Amino acid sequence: MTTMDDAAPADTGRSWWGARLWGRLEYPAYIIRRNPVTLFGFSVIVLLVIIALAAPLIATHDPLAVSPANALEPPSRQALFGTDQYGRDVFSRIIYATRLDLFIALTSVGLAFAVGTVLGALAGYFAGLADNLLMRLVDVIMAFPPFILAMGTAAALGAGTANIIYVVALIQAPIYVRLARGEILSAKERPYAEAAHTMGNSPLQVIFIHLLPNCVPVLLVQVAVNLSWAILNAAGLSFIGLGVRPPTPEWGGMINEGMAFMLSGHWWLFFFPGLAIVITILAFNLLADGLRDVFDPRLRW
Amino acid sequence: MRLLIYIARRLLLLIPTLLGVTIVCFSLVRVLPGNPAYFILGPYATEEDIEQVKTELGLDKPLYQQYVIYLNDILHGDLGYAWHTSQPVADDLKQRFPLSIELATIALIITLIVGVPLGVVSAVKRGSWVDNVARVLAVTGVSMPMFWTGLVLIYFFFFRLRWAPPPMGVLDVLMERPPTVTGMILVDSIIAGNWETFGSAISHLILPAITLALPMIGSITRMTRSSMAEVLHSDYVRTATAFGLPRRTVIYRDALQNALLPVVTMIGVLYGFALGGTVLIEMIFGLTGMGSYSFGSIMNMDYAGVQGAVLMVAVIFVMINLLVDILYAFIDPRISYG
Amino acid sequence: MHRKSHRAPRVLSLLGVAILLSMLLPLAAAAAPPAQDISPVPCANEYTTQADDSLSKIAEKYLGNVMAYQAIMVATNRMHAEDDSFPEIDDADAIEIGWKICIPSAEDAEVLLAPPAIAEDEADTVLIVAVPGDLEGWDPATATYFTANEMIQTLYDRLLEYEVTEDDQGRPVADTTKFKGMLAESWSASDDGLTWTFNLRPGVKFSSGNELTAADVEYSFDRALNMGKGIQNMMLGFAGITDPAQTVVVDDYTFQFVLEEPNNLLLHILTLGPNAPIIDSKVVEAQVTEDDPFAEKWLRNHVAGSGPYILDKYEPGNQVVYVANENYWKGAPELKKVIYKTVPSAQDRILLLLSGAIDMAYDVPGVDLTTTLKDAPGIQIMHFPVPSTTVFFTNNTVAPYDDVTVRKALCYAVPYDALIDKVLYGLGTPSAGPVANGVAYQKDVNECTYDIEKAKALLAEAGLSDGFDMTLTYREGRPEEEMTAVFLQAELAKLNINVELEKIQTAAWSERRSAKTITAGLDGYTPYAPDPTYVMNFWYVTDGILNTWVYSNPRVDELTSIAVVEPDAAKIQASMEEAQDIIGAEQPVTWLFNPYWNVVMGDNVQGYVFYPDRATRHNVLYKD
Repeated sequence: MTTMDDAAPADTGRSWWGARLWGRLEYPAYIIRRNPVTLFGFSVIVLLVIIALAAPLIATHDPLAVSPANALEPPSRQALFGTDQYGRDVFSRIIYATRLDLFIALTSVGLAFAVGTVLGALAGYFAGLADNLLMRLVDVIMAFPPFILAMGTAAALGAGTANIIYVVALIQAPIYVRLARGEILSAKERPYAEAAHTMGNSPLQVIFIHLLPNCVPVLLVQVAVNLSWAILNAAGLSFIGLGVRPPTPEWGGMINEGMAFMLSGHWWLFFFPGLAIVITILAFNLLADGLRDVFDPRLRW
Repeated sequence: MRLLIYIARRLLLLIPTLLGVTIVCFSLVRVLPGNPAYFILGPYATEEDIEQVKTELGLDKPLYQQYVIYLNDILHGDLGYAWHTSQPVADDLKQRFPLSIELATIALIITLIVGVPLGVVSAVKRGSWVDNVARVLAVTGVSMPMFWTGLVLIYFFFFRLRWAPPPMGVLDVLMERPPTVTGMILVDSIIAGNWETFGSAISHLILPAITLALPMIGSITRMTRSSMAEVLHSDYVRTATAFGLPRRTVIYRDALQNALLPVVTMIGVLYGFALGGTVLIEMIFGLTGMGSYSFGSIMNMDYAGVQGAVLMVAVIFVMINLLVDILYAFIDPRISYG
Repeated sequence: MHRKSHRAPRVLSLLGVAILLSMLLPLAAAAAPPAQDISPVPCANEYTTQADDSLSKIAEKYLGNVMAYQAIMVATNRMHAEDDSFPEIDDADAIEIGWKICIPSAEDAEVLLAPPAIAEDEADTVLIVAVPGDLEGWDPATATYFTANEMIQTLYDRLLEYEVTEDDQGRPVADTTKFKGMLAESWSASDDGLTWTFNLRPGVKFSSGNELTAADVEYSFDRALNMGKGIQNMMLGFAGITDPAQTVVVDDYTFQFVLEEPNNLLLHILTLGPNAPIIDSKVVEAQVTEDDPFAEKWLRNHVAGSGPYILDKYEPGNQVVYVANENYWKGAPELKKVIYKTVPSAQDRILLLLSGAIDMAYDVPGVDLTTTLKDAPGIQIMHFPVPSTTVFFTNNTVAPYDDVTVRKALCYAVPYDALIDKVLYGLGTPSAGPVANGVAYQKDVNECTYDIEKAKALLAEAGLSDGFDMTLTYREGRPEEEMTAVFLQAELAKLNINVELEKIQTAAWSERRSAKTITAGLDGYTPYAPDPTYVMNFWYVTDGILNTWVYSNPRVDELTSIAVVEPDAAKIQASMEEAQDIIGAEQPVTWLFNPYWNVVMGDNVQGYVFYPDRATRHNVLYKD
């Protein structure tokens, strides 16, 4: 991914994390409002979050309620997206799956972001042996093609939601370590870092109050892109049988199960969850594009 | 000379990385649920049988000893014996890796051929229909899970249209492989001058390669576009244009060269994606490469197979990244060989 | 500034499109599937068989060449395709009096005999089978996976085989009550039932060219006995053979088993493709090393057999190719090549079948058998009832499943009809108990029906109306077990039983099954020998190796050991029926259903014979 030239002004003002962060996010918020495509992506995500939170209100059926007599029925008024091979309502399952998929995406990326950024920032600031060791560790993780590592660790940990989150976080964390380390390395040479240091702030304060908030927006682009990869990786793991355990609804698993019914003409089983994934990833990508614009308006798409 | 020192430094740095990789490979299989002895013997094994096989496999020794043995074996070029294919892992890898490398390479070539021009045109003609098409392509390509696009492509191009050959193997069923030289079917066909197998292999590889390329085209287009736009806005392009050099010359001679530099660094990342993607692609297209091998080894608890395959993937990936870095250092006049 | 800018990009993008298109071109070139019929060869003579005739005699008389019997066989079979008055000859040694035989001219016979240059389209003599996975090694002593078993039975011969009869639909199937000689021309037992003598067929050659003698038979069985492990060793144990001293070479063509007590399983075990093949002792001994006294590594991916096919190529994960053994003692197989292609995706296998690119597919989902493929042109589907039983089991020694009332409650909570209908898509039958239909002395002892109220009452009786937690374990890659699990989960919830589904990989499953640490799970079993003692020995006696449910009843153990050695059929029946009654009453597992064995082939593939080990006999297949 492109790392932007640091456009940050040498701002040594408020030392309050939240306010600083908001200061950095004010402009992105403006851009999101202004660009219709980005706004679209953003709105879709907001909508998805609402769906996820209000799933019990939106779903028309219990997503786990099995009803053999109603198995494999095409979309109708009773079952908007049809029923699956167990007679479960596909629409309700997709709604509930939104919850799980967003949860997987947010927690895994959040975990990777938090661990990766903190470690990367510390390593970048203090340098020395620990930095060296950490970077070698990152090298080792990045020596594996991500999906191979994901497959190996998922098989080792066993199927299940929590394990998928760990696995996806593991393959994404090194990106944040490297990004944060690079940002901190360049930021700590700047005058305001020097100033913060001489004013008696401890190194940790300098890192987390003065330096890191300036780097967050750059990392946010990465987060938006990685959210979509998290969902795709989870889906890929489902395909090879290492995904979320049944009967829990999850889009990747639903597509994978539904594909077994593709040739027998039960198209609704894979089409609707597929659509859900495409829309979600599209939204994350449009948002990522928009965020990228924020930091380099010349490249606006 | 400085380039040589740079390469030497990079090679030295590989040692701890590769050591780490062996530790990961080694521990990965030991954490996998299930004991290979049970798998090897199947469902009818008795406890004594199990103990016997464990001893044969050296699994009764302490972990650190097993690791030292493993490392020692690797250094002597011995990757062990894969139970699920009944042959030495080294033979498996020789038979299987070339195909995945070919697949990933073809996918990458498609990506570059489609993605780079698309990115350049988008940057030059911002807001045009090309730009918009490129954006749509970039985003939708990434949005669809590969296993899903693969099956859809098979359905239409093989089953409906009969353009693509049956998704099983890399050659037509009754076709003989050309003599193995490199193990890569396309290269071997060229060496043997066998255009029949060459054509068959290309036709078998093209759909999987397109499936693999679709998500990558987006990234490369986006990358090229932004890097090109950046160069087009740079002072020297403006200066060159102001001095009256034809804009086309400026764009396609000077600007393009500079804009492609960051694209080179992207190749390593994409290669990693492509290598990982072969797991899904090979399963869908019935190809026998390292992706299906890694998967088969993991699912079958084949310790030697997993260790060998994952190690090999990592080594290849590391080497490709090294090559990319060296290439970058070589073509970028600005690099300091830090 | 923008004046000249648009031509170059257009050229560039066109270039990109052109390159992409040119890469697509080979696709179009690779689409021409050839397919023609085998045309009959004109008969120079027609001959009606008489007593004491053999094809080789006829061949010598008309064509001056004993080996030309194959040409006669092929010529007659091809005429049979057009003209019913000609018989179909499956087995050169089994011709009947009064058959009209087509004898080709000497020239035609030569063409028919020349192995690679057979004047037919190659596709008509090649069988392509799509299988989902690898073969996992095929040493007869240790191979346990289905595809490997099938391979062993095709590449090796055994002493005996089952006769072939017709089932109620007129399809050829094995008659598991009648044996016939394979490598043994004849056999006999001493009056006390302890000494079994097998007279070997002379002149049978291994594919190495070595003649098969009694020494090879002895080596084959001794190898497994000395190895002290593996499935073959265990199977021989069931047949009462545990010591190499029990295998005796009398002379080159006479071999004996000496038993310590009579055994009813012996002949069945000797017919089993995977477990009783005769291997080429000279070839195998040449591969023995100090580390590997039984040449196990070599036999895992090599073959030393005398079967109708010879291993030609093995490319792990891609394909296994057999070629016909032109010198096979029963006559060269009609199909000259059998290719197993690994196609992991079930959807791909179906598309390949529909397109005609393959002849046979394994592991086709029930939903496609009953919809996609059902009336598809060019496809034939056969469903055979097999003694396979799918079970929902719980560990009988773990609370609360140690209480028979709880096990009965689980049994009454299963929606049997829905499972057969929705999981098997109707391709199966209700289960009658531990021993499935098709096995001798089978008795219906399964009292359970779908009755949630009764299940609730039983659970209340056991003091568990509030339910309990259950982890239901099943294997990865088994969609039918997964579906069953999800249905069971929903039903058991009605009993307040909170079921968590646990999907584990095969290797983990193997380990936990051996260690008997699965508390609740789904499994299936298929007795290869249709004998109730075989079922009991594996799955229901106390130390049964696959008694995953840890069931133990001394009386069942005793009845089983009686039935194995008992010569009197009525007494066997009595003891086996008693054992089934006991098991039915104690309900160690819930018997869910008996799924069919489904064979899916191109409709030009003929001659399929069904055997209870489910392996395809490739040498009797032909295309027409």
